[in-house]
Amino acid sequence: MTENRKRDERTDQDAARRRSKSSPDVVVDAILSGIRSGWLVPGQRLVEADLTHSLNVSRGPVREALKLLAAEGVVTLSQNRGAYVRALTRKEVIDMLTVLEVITGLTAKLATYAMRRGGWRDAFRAAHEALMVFRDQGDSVDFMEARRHYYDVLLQAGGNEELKRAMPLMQIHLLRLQFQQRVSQEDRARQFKEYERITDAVLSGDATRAERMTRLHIRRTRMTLSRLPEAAFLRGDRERSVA
Amino acid sequence: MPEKGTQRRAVSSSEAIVRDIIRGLYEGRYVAGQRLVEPNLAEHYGVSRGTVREAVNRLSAQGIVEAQHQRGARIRQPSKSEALNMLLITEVIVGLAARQAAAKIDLPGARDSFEAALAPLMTPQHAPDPLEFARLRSRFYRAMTRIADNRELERILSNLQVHLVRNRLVIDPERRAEAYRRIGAAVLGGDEDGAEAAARAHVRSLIERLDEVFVTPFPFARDG
Repeated sequence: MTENRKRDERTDQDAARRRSKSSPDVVVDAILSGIRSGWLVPGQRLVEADLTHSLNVSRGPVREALKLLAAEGVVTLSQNRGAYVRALTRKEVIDMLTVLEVITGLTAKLATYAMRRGGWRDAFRAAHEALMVFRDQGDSVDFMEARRHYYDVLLQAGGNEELKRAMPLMQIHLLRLQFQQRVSQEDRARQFKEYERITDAVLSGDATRAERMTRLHIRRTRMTLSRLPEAAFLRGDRERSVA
Repeated sequence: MPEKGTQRRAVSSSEAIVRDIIRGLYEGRYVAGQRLVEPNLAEHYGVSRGTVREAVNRLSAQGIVEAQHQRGARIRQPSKSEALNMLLITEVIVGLAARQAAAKIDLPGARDSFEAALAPLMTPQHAPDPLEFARLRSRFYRAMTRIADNRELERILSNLQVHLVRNRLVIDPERRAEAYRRIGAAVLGGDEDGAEAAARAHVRSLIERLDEVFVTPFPFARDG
């Protein structure tokens, strides 16, 4: 304990010079960037010993980092099986998309107000064009990045800092990773039509329509995913056994 | 403030401080604008300054504390526009909680726990003990979110830190009791649309009257 504390303090002091990065944060950052770059995927086990070794930190900060990520819904902790990159059960998918429907709808509405006042239009148009490039292509890291950017411009344009904080960006990324292989051609085509409707509504300045189109898109995604077979989801009983 | 011994060792000490400060905000032990002085906290919680710093960093990441350059940290005191931003999200999230609670009100135990949490809010209290009222209000929203049974909803609501704003809204007790009665009736009636509309209308009315209801009750905090 004392050892750890001294160690934490030392790292803290070093870190204060480098924008105060404590060792749990180092571990958190490593896991998040692993998920972003694709070498960590939903359901993958996170072995404590591997993390302490590869990041050269002690077990305390690793455990702390895993707890923090669990609180954010990025990692699942289980008493018997250790830590996993979170995979979602059917219920969790539905719950998350139900929440995303209302907060992303709000995001589009606020962005529309902002663009009506003149800002962000070019950036948003560019993000839309960059996304449309992937209309007839399969899934790729670049597509996920273009989509992330599209929503990010909406979020930034709206200028609501609290919304930026509330938006579960990493969980959204995990959700997409978990299901991207299962999206049919037909669903993809529909998805791109929906982006066009959202963009059109946002740029037209009709905030109510922008909100409605965004909500419809996410609701349709929820319906599509809820029709997927059990194998697409983490099993509910396994989830329940997690403390 | 809690006894030093009450912190469980299973949770890391910085995490325990984070939790205690959040709880303290609900209970009034900590208030918006209050400065967090590192050595004082270290002594109070019986931990190293490094641990305190880590807790403060974490609270800052969660938007509860704002670090001031060269001047330490203090509990965030949202401006009116920040309050507006929080309430806009609260409106849709609480609306959704009410809708989902209405959909699930007939599941075992739901109705009883909801009625118990609702009852004390339905009669206007003209001179309520603010801490007691904050506790009852939290209990009501907690009961409603628990019935909604949506973990993502709970997560967003608890991360919103809306209590930093709520305690600074001055609302007519009659009006407030009426708002809770409406939300309550719709949820208990299983009326999903009505419940969402009533909950959103309540938050909406706060947003629309933000100029009158938003007060800055802790002038001492301004000088830093």
